[in-house]
Amino acid sequence: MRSLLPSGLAVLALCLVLSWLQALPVQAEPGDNPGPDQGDLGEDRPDNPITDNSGADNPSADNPSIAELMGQAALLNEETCASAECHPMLNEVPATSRHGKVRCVSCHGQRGAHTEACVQCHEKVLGGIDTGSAEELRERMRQLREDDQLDGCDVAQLDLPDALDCLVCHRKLQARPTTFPQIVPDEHIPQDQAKRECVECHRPHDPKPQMGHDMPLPYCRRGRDCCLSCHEKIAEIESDDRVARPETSPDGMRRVPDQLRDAEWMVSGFGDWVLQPPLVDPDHGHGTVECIACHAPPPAFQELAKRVHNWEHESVRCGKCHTGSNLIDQQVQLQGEHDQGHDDDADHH
Amino acid sequence: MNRPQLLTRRKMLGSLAKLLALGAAASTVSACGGTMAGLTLDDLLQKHYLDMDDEQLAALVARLEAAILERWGKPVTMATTPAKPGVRLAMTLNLSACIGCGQCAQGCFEENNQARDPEIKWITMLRSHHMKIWNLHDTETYTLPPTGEDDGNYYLPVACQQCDDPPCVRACPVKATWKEPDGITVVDYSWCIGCRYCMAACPYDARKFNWAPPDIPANELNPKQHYLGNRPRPYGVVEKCTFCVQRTREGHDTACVTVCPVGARRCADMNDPTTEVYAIVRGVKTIQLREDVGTEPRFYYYFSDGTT
Repeated sequence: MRSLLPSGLAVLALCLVLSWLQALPVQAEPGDNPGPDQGDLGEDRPDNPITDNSGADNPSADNPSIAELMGQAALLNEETCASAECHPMLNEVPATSRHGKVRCVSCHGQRGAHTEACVQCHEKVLGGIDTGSAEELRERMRQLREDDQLDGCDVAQLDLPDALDCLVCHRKLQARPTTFPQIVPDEHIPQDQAKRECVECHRPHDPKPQMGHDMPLPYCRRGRDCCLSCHEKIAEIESDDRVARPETSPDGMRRVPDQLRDAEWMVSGFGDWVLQPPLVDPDHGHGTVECIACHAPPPAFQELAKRVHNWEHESVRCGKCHTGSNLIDQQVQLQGEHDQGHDDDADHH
Repeated sequence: MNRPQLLTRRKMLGSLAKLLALGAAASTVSACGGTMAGLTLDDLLQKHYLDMDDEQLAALVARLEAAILERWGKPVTMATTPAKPGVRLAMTLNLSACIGCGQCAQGCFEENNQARDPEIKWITMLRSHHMKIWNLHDTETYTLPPTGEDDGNYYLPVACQQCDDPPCVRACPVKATWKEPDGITVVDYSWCIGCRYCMAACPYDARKFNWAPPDIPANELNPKQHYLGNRPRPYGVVEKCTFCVQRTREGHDTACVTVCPVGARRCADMNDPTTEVYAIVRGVKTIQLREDVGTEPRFYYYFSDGTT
């Protein structure tokens, strides 16, 4: 019995300690003392400082630090990041940019990506960017720029790491809303092309696709369906589906691609040149890229529309949408003086 | 009766005295050079967070800020901002807008100083084969944004639901976790003993455990911290979503609300008629996870395109 005494004492001590822990007075239990307005619709409640902004946060009134600004996270089109001193190129983002409502931090990260990319200049020249207020930082940048001490620190020259991979948001998933723009990468660009970066055609801040000669595409609401309504291949022909790049004669007629020249449905009469629209497989080796991306830089399209479509078909599909005051006709007028003709970009395919 | 006794009263008292002396010596030594790794006398004598007055809180926070400065070489500000009276936070998620990109999880990760290795993400993506029937037993957690082939799965981000009747609070044996007046269930990382009962109690698997000491690189450490929120957590404690207490109590949105590229999330006072959360909770058919368990979650999922 006696030999049990020490262990018994130990157990007793343990129980006492545990009960002391349990009996700790704690100020507010979850259930008791609910605030006067919890659960009510609140008639006489104080002004609630936490309101849902449903959009951009306003930076705190006086002198927020860069870290704070990053935390508050402006929308792409807002001034917080796009000031002349810090990120001047953002001032060129059009208001209609489809990424206009996306915040900078959604792609560039809240802290890591921003500081890693810029730290080599900012720490060297400005002593860090997480310390100090944004206003101080801008002032220092201004001063350094005036004194011409920013050698090597031109943001435009920096080899910035990629922001978020576009496909994280834009890869096609069954789970994603159908209204959200999404692609299957292998179908979006043809297989035989060298792997292309998204940014070759889509500027991240204004992602409407840009092609080759950097001209904005004419915006045709009906897109590929409009072209395919005449040009879609319906008959099966035994040939390579790829249609060679169309050559256009000076007067706008189309040279029949070799593969199609002997097809039964081809209208003969002009030899190698034909007015029948070439019919193609909708995929055409180019997936879901817009037809007019490659086939119609504005001048040639006008020529084609004028000479082939408008001439050949009176109740032309174009006419349903493209009446006198719309885009295409305007462009005809605008560019009538310019040199017409389609420059064959050799490496277009 | 004449058996030699192994432990006499004298021996026991002697051993106890030696032990006490040793303990006193050790604590004196460590009190002089207290670090995050070791416990100081102040740490041992710390009162419960809710029992401390402002002065004690300020001293506590100053001590922790100094420890972080020593460990990471980066000055931080640690707040102890209390809840604003009359506010009751809730979060809504529009599943019609959500594209499953996982940036909420990543933004939360960066904002809240979560462990890198082994990685902790407060927001978990659940993956299921079914769109409408979310049997939580049939889902798997998937913490990366979907980058592979479309496997026909559906995704749901889940984090702490900030329940109004939280089983985790009930389960905690030491009252290290409690529900604040503004609705956020918080954890005092200095009080938590790491028993993980709360993790067992949570029906949403929302709580995460620190299997290692904090390993955040200094340039990624978010210096704007709250004692109950995103301060670096010591080895062996439990953590979870805190509705970005360091942000919401200063009037900003949570990190997940901010980084979502499609604006699917909202976190605001559900009693304030001017907020979208108020309108959604009262006007739209919302879905809550595991309603049958009776935890009264304050995270509302809904479809804005008419899917029910």
